[in-house]
Amino acid sequence: MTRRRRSIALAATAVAIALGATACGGSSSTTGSGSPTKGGTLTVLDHADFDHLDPQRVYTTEGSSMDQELVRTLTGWDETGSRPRLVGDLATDTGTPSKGDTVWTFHLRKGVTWQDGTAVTAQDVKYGVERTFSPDINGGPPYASQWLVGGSSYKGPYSGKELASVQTPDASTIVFHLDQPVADFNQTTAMPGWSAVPKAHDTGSTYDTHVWSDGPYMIKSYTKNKELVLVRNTAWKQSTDPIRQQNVDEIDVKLGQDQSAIDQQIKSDAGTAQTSIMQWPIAGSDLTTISGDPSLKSRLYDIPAPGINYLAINTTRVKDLKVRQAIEDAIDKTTVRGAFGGSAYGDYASTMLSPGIGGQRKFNLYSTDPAGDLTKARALMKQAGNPRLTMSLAVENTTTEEHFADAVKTSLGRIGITVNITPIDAANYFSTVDNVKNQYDLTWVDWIADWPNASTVLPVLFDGRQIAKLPQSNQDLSYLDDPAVNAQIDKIAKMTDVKQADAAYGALDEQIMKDAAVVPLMYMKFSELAGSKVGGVIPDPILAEPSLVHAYVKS
Amino acid sequence: MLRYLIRRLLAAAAILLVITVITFVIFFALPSDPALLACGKTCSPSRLAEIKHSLGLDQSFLTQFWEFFKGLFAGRDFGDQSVRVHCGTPCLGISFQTDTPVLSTLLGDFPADLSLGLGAAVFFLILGVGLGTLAAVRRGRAADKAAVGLALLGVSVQIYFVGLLLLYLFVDKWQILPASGYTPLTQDPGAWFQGLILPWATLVIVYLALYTRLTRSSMLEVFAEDYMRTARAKGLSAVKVVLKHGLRAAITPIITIFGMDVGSLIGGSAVITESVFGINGIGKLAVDSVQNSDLPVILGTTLFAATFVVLANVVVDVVYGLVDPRVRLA
Amino acid sequence: MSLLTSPQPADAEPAAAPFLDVRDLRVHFPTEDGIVKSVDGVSFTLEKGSTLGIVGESGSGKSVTSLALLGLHKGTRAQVSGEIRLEGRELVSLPEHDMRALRGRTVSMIFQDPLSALHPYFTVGAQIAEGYRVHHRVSKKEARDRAVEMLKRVGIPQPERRARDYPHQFSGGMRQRAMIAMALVCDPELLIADEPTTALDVTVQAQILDLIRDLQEEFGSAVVLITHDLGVVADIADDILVMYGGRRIEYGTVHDVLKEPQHPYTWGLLESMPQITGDVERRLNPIAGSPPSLINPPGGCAFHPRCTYKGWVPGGRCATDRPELVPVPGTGRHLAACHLTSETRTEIRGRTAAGAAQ
Repeated sequence: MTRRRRSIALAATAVAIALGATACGGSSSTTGSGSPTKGGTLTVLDHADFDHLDPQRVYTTEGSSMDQELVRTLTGWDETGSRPRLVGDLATDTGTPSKGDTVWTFHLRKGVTWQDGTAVTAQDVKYGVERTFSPDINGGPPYASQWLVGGSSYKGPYSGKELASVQTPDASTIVFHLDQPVADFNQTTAMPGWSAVPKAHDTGSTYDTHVWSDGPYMIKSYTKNKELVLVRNTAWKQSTDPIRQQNVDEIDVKLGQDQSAIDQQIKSDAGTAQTSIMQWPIAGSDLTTISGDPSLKSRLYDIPAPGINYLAINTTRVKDLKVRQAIEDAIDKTTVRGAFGGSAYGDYASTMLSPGIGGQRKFNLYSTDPAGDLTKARALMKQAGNPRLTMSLAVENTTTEEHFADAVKTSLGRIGITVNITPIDAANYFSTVDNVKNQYDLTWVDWIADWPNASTVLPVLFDGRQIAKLPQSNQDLSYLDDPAVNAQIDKIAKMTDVKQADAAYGALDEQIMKDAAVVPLMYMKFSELAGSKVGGVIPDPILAEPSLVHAYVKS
Repeated sequence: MLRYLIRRLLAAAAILLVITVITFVIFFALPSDPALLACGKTCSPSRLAEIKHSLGLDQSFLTQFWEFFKGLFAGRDFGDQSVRVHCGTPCLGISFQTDTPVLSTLLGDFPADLSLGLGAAVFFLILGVGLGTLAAVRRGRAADKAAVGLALLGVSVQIYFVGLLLLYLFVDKWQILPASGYTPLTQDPGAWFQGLILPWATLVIVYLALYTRLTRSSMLEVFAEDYMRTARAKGLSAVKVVLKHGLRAAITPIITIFGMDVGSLIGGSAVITESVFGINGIGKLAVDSVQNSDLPVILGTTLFAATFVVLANVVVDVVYGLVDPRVRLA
Repeated sequence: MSLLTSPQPADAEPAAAPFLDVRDLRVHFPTEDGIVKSVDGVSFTLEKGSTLGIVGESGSGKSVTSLALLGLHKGTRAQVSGEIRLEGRELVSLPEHDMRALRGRTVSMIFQDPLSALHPYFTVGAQIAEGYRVHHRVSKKEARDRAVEMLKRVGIPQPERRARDYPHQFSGGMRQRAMIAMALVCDPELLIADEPTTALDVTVQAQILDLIRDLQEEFGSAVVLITHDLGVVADIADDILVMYGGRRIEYGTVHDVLKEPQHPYTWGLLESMPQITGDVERRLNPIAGSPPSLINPPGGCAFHPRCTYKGWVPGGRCATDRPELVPVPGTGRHLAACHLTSETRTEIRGRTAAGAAQ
């Protein structure tokens, strides 16, 4: 999952000496501020337009968060408690697995309707999922095509054909046949793509601006790159929806203003800013002042992201394990984090699974001092024969990452490694480094899990067999292809007990870390600011967004 | 005159065609792949191929160009069978990124550039010609040196610096003006004007220099002409001599430059000003489209801007012919 | 008409004041290199109905003199001193605002190159009408009619149509006629023609000169004709003033000056003219040397560095004493500024005439 051009989000955190952001956790103000008031307009300020609102195409956190107001999915997350809880959204519950987690059955709630009053049927859900396969409906996550039987040859519903592995025995039952066991499939179905789309109102590649709603709000108008206006969907019923509320009359999303200008506007809390909120994180240059300002504390939301900022070491080029382990100990994470904006940015990481991801096991195989353990690193290099090495480092072409690259260069210079920095244009960064034709010794990466389970982190990032399958969008930037790891991945995938799988993933994390294929740097935190009259904001740690499902504006 | 116009317009069309071809060629030389960007993160080769096909990017260069060219006159259909999207004449394509027709996006952003460009142009023309005339009439004296010095200052400072400085002073520090930005004239004339004051001022400061110096030197040349002496010898007042006889003759080179400047400004060349003041115009659209490898929009903005510049050229030549009777439009 | 040798003594009063009375006019231009003395003590008179031809080479100061008559040096860096009396009114000290009322109306000028002197962007009719409207409160239509009338007067065929044409659409001769029409549109009393035929073909020259003469007879204006061409002067001038280095060197009637020239410079001018009759092989006889510096004029006689006859003056006076403009003995109104005695001059002229006849 990405934020649209997430490099901007991270690059925006400036080189600033962190004053120690005290506003940690903010206020999970869902219940604290009293009962929600009805009415009014909530303004959302975004510096860029959504990649898509079409639920089968959206693959960014902002788009997914906004889609929650329009589109209901089979399952969903109730985030009002201390930890997110998976519940049935369109479905009555979190689904029934069978045949070793290869068949999943969901029953739909009664009484859920479209904005025109017609009922949402299982056929609609099937149609929605089938749309994923059309080349016109591109951009979304690959799970449907990966797991549904016959997915590799199906070309979408526009050709007139249906996908047999998605069955609808009646109007309120839907059954999925998967070609492999997926124990947490019901977490996948919480993603926007697993939602209903009515065939009669499908406009194909222009559906982004014509999304037909079964949620509490519907599109009144959407001018791309300018403004999105949502109004109450009168056909929506609270009684059928355990996740959302319908408090404000209108949600007005204004697109295209500079992020720093948005920060200042909401900070000033004047006029409509009082009822405004942002979706993108506070710009790096403003982060320190805002997070250090006690008067803003009550409306500042620090949301932990299920993600990891790390440095991938190319195991096919840096072959010596001792050298890789020396790198782990040599990197000074304090300067690295400083480059990204300081402690407001997030905590130091020693594992690839971040807190909040099911399966995280806490361990630290290398230096416990975030500044690194130079003695141990030098000793390891000596064991490796004290080679004088030169390595290439790929980073985004932004000020933040320039500083990051310098920090790495300095750290590794201390153990005799000369680092040559290759800055790559931020807009094309991932499409460049993900291409197997472009390989570097060290690559900067960040990764946010599609749902908070290790299954969306470790297999994608470390299964070497994927490299050949996806040569243009390879995510295994350590180029790790360890048969033991691959076998373990397969084994865990077959486990039907989620707890068992979680424990196994934790062990796998440690196994990979022993191999020093990656240097985990920081777990990420995103800070958002809202106006003083905005209430009901729930920090969503799955999308790392301020969830608006319970939002209201005080009069 | 009519024949002249028709010939010039045909030549303009030829130029635009060449520009289209060149833009197409440049795009194909770029390393980034729009199909890959559209495909998303986990993109299998077969999926990539499918998307490439649906975007028409697997066709040969000539075929793609021909499809585009045809679409300009006959409209085009995009997409899969049952949900075809029709793009009417002139079809500039559909944005890879937003899936909306390029032409409607351009027309939506155009009023901002029109307001920004025309407004600033009116101001810097009047101010520039005025200051330049003053400098020429008071040549060598304090007013001349002041006008030229000010102009030099204006052209030396970078436009983004001017813009940011104005923003800081008027919006943040003294809080005289609200945040800048574009509000459509039809929506709220007051806000439209207020939001454009600073962007206009920025453009004026930078362009003023050129027009002041140009007017000054053009006027000084005209002052040395015999007909100026004749006008004085007839007993005309100094004001009439300078303005009616002098300025009228001096204005012709200024018209040429002005036409080009206006043409390129309303076509979206004020990119930096747009981005400093948060105006969503064609300049910003063009820059974004390059970053996203959004070929249809790149083509659209290039053609759009080129059209205005080329047309401005034609207009300027016609006006020149109207102003100077010695010029025979042939 | 009366001629002045030098500024009148304060108590002397002539019988009738001349129409135009220029006394000791000096126009000096301060420059970085020094003061350029373009006009350095020029005096002359002119009556209505007569024509004065001012002759000289480039840099002699003749054009600067004419501009001074129009007061066009006012407001520039030129230093103008002396007196210009027009019907008793003194122009050098007249403020610009008052001078403007006279320009184009009482005093008018025809310029040398009508293509550059007429504004290329306005029609000929509009420019003439403008000249009329500056000094008369009339409607646009009335002014236009007047312009058409003037064009007719100067002999331009189809004047209504041609009034709508632009200067570049006229031939050289027609254009100069139009310029003349513009100069005369307010019936000026003093007309200054600065090299009016220099830019024209020889055949057209004659027509223009005839026109000027006819119009002068018709309007009774005084005409100052500036030229370097003795043939033009011979044709229509009554008096001639020869200028050199900003000073007068010979002044008299056309007959006197051209038949009995007294100054070596004038001899040189006459000698250097190509002859229609005579030997084709005969070489042109220019005056050797170049015009003097106006910043540092030669001491004594301004012409002496180029004069072949200075040896005929005893004591080398040509280099030290500036000759006064004095009457030639035996004439009342023929003045020359030269140290050569009258007898010497006659002798020289006899010799050269004899030499030329061979």
